[in-house]
Amino acid sequence: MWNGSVGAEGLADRLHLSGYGNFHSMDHHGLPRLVGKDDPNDLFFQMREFSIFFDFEVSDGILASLEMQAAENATHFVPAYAYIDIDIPTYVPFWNEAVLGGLGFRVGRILVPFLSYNENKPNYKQNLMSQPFTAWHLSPVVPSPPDFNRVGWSDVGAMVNWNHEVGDLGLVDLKVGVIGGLGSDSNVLDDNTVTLAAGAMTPTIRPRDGFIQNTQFDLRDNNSNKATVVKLSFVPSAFPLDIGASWYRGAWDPSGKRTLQMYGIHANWLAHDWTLKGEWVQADVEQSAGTNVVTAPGPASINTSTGDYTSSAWYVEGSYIPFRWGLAGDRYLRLVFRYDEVDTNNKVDFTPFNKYRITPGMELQFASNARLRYEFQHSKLRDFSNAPGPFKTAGGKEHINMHMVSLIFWF
Amino acid sequence: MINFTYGKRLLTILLGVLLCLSIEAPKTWSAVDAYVIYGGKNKTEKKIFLAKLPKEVSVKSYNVDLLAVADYSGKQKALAKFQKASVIVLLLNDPMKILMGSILKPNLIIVQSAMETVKSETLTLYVLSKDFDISPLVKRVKVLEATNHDALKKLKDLESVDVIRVDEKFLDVIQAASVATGTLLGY
Repeated sequence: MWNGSVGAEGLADRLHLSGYGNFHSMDHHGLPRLVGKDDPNDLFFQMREFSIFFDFEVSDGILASLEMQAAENATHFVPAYAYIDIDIPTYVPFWNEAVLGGLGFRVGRILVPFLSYNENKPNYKQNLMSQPFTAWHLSPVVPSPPDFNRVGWSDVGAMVNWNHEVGDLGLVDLKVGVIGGLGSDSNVLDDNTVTLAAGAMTPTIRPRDGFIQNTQFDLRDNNSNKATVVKLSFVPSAFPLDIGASWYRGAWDPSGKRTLQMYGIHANWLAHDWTLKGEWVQADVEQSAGTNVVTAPGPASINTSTGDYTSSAWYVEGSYIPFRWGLAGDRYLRLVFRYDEVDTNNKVDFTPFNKYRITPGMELQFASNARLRYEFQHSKLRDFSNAPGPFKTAGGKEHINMHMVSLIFWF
Repeated sequence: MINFTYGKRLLTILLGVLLCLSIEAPKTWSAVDAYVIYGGKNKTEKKIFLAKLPKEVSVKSYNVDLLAVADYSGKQKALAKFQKASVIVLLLNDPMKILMGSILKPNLIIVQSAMETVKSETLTLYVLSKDFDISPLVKRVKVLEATNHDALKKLKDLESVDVIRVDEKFLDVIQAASVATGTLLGY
């Protein structure tokens, strides 16, 4: 029956909810043991993410948005983002959207528009449960397991988003943000460390959960030199493809003088039965401090260096659906394969984060909004012949294997 | 790199935006009559549809390819925007695939797609060319065969019609969908 009423103005009509979550088990072999931590090679279960997205229409063209995550095995709630979105053409009469394109302004704790993974991190938008190295060891989308306190790279700041149709060719989308930025209150950017359980020798090692989010629970940035982030994407009309480039630059130290710069590209081809995705990212770190493993006295540090250094990572992932069934083919079995590489410090003789990884997996969509996934990972550390004795004594191996089973749902 | 001393410049920008917003008095909820959703490769069909729509109809359009570059809550935000229209028009298959699983509150007109992946809580009307395969829609029994605009203008009396089958020997199906939309909106 025809609904004659125009619009939806009731409070309940203005609130929109959706969400997702996942539960999984992981079983590693070949990781080094750490002081004060459970053996990382033990099988464990994890409720990694359970998020609810709230969108509330404040007024015409103004939306308040919040993502709440049940973090650390659902023991507490943390906001992943919280911001206000303003549709500029609604309020600025001279901005003709049909001619000038869409324009939005977002302010608050925003998702950082850098590469593709961060803005697509919910596992129902991905083919594998585990994250690529680009989103783990460089851009800080995912913390190191098993201590997940929040998934997703967000920061306090403002962003302008402009998009425009380029004739019949496709769509251009530009996001420019100014945010507090990544950083550290020490004189070393990546100062997050854990200690190897290697008997009397207890060298520190960095868990590398991406460049650390600057005092993420503080109310203020550690310097007045803000970071700039830019993401430019293009979606051609003729293909199910989006490609883009991202750039980030900001001071990370308390004096605001030392810079972290990251840049990368992404591509996603998402066809009905097959997908092909990839990202490449490089980070240049200005740093004068740091511990030299060879010359420094005291406890040795394994993957640190003095002076400037460069990190890089990339991945390529393909998937194919050989079987579909159910109404409109919405049940399927998908086969997935990913290849990753990372080197988090080009100046050191050995780091456990100079490695490659292969990940075959499969995904069963057994209900309209639920999937089961299995994946196997095999990683090989490069330069393992340079690995110091304590790393090996703590159980660190050249080859690391992992099995992972996940249940994923969204609503 | 942008150097914002104590955030003063950022504050200046924010105040500038607020000033822009205040140029025009705050609007009340300004729902549009129709929201037209299309894929980037169907811009021609969108133009034909908009051109044939009565001038009195207030209309907005949305390219679903934008969701490829939006973040993961972009689909929910886009749906919130659409829901304030009296009628949502989905052109061809791309919106049906990308908005799969959505149940919308406004009236829904689906043009040249027999997919049933998006539904309305009120009226869902398919507009298809006569040679279009409607086997996925076998449950829909009330079919209007249209060969001219007069048949479409009777639609106001036939709100319970489920499928309009357009004979393209006499009528363009996109234009017919546009006329039907205008008729249902009372123009």
